[in-house]
Amino acid sequence: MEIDRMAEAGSLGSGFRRRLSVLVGISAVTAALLAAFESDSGRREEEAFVRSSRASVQIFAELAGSAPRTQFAANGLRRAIQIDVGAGGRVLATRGASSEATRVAMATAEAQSAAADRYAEAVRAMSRVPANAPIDPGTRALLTSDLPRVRRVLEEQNRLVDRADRYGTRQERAMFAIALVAIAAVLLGLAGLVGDGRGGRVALLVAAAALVLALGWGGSGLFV
Amino acid sequence: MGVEPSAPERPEEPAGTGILLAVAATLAAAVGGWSSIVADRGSDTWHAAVREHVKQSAGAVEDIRFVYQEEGPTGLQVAEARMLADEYRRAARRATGLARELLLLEASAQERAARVLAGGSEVSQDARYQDPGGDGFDLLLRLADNRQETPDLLALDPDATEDEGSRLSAEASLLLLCIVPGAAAFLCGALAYGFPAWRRGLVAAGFAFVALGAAAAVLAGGAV
Repeated sequence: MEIDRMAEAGSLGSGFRRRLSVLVGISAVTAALLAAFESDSGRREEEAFVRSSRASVQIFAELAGSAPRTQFAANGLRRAIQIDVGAGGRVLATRGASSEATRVAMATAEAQSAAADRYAEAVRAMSRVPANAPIDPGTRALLTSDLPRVRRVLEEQNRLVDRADRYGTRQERAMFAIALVAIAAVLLGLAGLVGDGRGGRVALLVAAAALVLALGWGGSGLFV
Repeated sequence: MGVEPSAPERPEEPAGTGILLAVAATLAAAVGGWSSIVADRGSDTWHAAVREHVKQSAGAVEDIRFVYQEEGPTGLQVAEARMLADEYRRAARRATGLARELLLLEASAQERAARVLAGGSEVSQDARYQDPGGDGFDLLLRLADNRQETPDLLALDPDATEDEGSRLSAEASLLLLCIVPGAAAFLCGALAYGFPAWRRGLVAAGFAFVALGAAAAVLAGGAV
């Protein structure tokens, strides 16, 4: 008696069989498309993360690499001024003193002032990065970086993080859509087992709904 | 009671359909696995690009810091003492009496200071780094020499590594797309069950899709 009922339940009418076969085929194609979409989105997300990480490293390197040269130049020029001002100060300090002391102070000041000019020029020359400098392009980029350039890299880095977020959302949606396709596949298998009865038709209907939802949900990732 | 449950209603097994489904599933599994391996290599290569960038930037920043924050300032102190000595001697030639003596004394003191300071400064000891057109030193040449001390860091090319990762990733995405013809073959096989009248054509189309998927996978594997 039980087997008879099972036989009746497992029977497949031709219409039911057609619907089942169409849905099974569509499930296979949907799963393949969603898998490709999910995988591609994941890779694009990773690429954006990798590039944004490199941009962060670049920002740090440009800030850290350009500062020593700028600081060297600033300290050097400050020292040149100090030498020059010190020389003038010595002359002023001899006011009211003997003419010999003033003569000595003036001679010293002249020498110091000339040395200060040469020192400033040496600092400028040592801080310069001419086009024919014998350094590799990467080191040159770090040495000569400035705030506008760092800002540009920062903007690019932010853009890449946003891009990674967008592809991450796409991947999440595709993953959920694949889960829905898996549910649909299980329901289709169940419908094939149960057959052309009420239970089978309900399973078929729910599987079709799950497939439509999967396509919609996965496709919505394209508009993120 | 001993009746086969669905035997009377089971239609004739479509010729070759089972083989088609098995071949389609095998193709999908093989191409999916291949794509996964290529994607993994692409991901590793991307991460290698980040590691290379970090290593290279850290090396460059450290070299720049060393040259402009340690060697440069010490070199400038040597240059300052030399310039002052030079200017004091020059001023001494124009001076007389006590002023001349004091200037020569100062010059001598600065020369001694320059010699002592030069002991701790490589740039001022090596004549190659002496700026031929000025009083300073060629810090860029010193920096280039420093960079050459770590040729492995200098040889790194994170951009090229990232491009290689992107190439592998694109190959993996293309390979995964080749599953879609396999899924279409699966669709044909499923439809062959539901639409017996079109069975031959569907099975033939299914095998054509399998061949298309396989050919596309081979092309995608070598095209990117």
